[in-house]
Amino acid sequence: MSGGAKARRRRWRPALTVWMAVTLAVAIVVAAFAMAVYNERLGQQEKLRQAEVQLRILAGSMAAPLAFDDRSAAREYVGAQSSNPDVEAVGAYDMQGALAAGYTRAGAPPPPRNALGPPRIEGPRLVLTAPVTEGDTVLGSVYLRTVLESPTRRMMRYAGFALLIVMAALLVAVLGAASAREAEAYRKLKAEIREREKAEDALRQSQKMEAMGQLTGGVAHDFNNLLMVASSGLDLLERTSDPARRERLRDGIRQAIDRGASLTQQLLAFSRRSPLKPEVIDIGQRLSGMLAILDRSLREDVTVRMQLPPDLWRVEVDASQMEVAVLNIAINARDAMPDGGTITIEARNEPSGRADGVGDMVRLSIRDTGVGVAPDMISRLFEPFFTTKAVGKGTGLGLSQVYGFARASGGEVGVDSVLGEGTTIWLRIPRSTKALLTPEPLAVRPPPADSDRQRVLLVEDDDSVAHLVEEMLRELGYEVKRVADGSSALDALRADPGFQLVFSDMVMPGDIGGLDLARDISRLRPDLPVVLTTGYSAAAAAASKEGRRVLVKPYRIEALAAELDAVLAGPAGRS
Amino acid sequence: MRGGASKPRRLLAAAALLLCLRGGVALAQEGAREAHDRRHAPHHGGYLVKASHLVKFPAFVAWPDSAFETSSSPFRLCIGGVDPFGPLIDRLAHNARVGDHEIMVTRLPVVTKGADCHVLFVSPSRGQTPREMIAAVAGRPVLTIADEGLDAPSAMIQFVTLESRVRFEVRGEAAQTEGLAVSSKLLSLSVTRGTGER
Repeated sequence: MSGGAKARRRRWRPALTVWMAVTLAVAIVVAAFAMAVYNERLGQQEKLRQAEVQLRILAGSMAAPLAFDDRSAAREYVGAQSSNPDVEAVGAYDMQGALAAGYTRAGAPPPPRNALGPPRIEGPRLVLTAPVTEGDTVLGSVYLRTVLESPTRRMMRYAGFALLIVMAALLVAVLGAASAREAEAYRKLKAEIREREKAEDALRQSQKMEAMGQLTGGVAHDFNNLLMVASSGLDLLERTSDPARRERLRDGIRQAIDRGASLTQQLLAFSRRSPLKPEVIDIGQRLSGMLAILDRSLREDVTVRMQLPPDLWRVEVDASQMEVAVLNIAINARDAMPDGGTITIEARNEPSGRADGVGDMVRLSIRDTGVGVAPDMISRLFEPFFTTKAVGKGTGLGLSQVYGFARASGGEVGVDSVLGEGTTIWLRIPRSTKALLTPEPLAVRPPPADSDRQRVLLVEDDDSVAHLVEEMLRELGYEVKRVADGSSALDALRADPGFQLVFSDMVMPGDIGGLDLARDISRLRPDLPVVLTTGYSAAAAAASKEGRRVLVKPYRIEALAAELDAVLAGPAGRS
Repeated sequence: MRGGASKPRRLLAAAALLLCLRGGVALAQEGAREAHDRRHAPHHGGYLVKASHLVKFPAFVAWPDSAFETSSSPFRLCIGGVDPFGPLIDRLAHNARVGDHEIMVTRLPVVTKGADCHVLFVSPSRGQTPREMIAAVAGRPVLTIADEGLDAPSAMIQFVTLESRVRFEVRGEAAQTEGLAVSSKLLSLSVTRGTGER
């Protein structure tokens, strides 16, 4: 989710502030009060209407008794009004305005003489008067005093209502305050989470730095040892002339250098940036050749069985990586069988069924009869540094290497395991239709005569490396010109068209890297072969993808000779 | 008889005229005047009350429209036989109206057939019996009111005195026969025939 969307979501989060809650509560009370006033007025109007109706009925019924001075009838009609408990006093007046009949429930009796007028409210009482007529003849008048509603009764009625409203207002206020507090707590929590995330990032960074410190420390330590061997060997080489001793010293130096190279290979494998040196191999032949190594690496109580059909398809993989992968799996199998058992290494073809052979795979499985892996562990088996072994017994990098190898080879890897019965780790590697390379024996060529020396343009930014490679190339009989970067190389090629080959490093300072240089040369001199070299896997992979030849550092002089010979022979053969 | 008015009659008419001139005087003075009339009226037996009732009865009775020639033609209150009210009835009639009609008091010592009346008060007469008087106006919408003690069973209203108060008996069916509608309010004040109670 983008930052903008996140901010919008935060902005739209509804939060009732205390101020809003209090306003709402006050609004409720005000609205309730307004409603009460309105109701009160409505109630009064209703009461007035009722009283007027009663008065009109009284006036109508009083016509005859007043006209004919029938006091008893008048009293009867007036007395009938007492059935309404709200009526306080009633009076009937004759034509002369004198009281003819009256009734009083409470308060003052009806006035002795009636004064006609509009209805009027006297405190909690409503007073109404009306003329008594028959046709157009005025026969007298009536007086009615009725209680609107006693203040106590009204107070009781409104008290319940008011109580409810006040409770509702209080509830809103309390809820609002709680909501506001929750919003505040939410805000604080968000801030806290942000702080914690920052702290965790910092911690992760420091852990990374620590790990890198340990790693570089360890690497430095190992390399120092190797350099010590090489350095002291060279010192001693200068001081002795005994050929046998010089041979031993040279071997020692060579071994130290080989160990250094393998150390960097391991480091690159760890970082999964190991440059692959894919070659087309017969997998059966390779695995058969591993039997001796496996026997040496495993215990006596572990038996290794190979089931390799003779017609296995060829695959294009880094053979040494494959051997390491098989060895890693076998060592895991051994550790899974503390009481001994059998490791079965099996390979078989898995056709895709398509006519063009795309999707054909070779399946390699290594099965043990060990304790098995718990189902919840299976998904984590290939994670780097994940191990079920005791501290110090395993690095957690073995199966990680297997995974890296399988993916880098365009294949896949998987685990089938039953607790107590054993585990099978399988790899599926794509079939290769390329022909097998038969390694040619390295023929030591005699140095060619000066006249037919071939000219090589060496592009290398590191002076010491450049110096040594220059020496090696001269040793192989080439005439060498070295430049330090890509643009200089292009200048040199434009100035001197006499070069037969360009040998270039890939990662260099400046705008033009080795790959860019190779592309430029292809445009400038399509016939001029370019060989690239690097120790960095990503660069090597990019170059391989373009179909360019890459010599992986470090390399030995024999490999350099073979590579250059092959390149120079290629166009010559074609032309 | 109508043409030959006696001397005391003329005096009474003069008094009535005088009272008419004072017609605008406030009602408050009425009480005092009635007390004065009560003392000086020729007949005392509750005739003040009866006169007052006489002018009020029409308010509770509805006449058919055919009873009046025009909307402004007078309402005729006839007194058959001996007039027991004197000028009192004239004064009361002068102050009252029946709808839009002014009340005109007509004294008929003898009620002849075809006497033009809306109300006929039947009073004792030497020449006619009450029944004859009532029979004279029968078949027309005339509210017949008989004085108490008279043998007038066909009168629509007849005064009675109960516990020294003037009351009346209303015979609604008799009024209905002549096309008059008597208000139930009036009927409710009627004393019951025979028992003398309502």
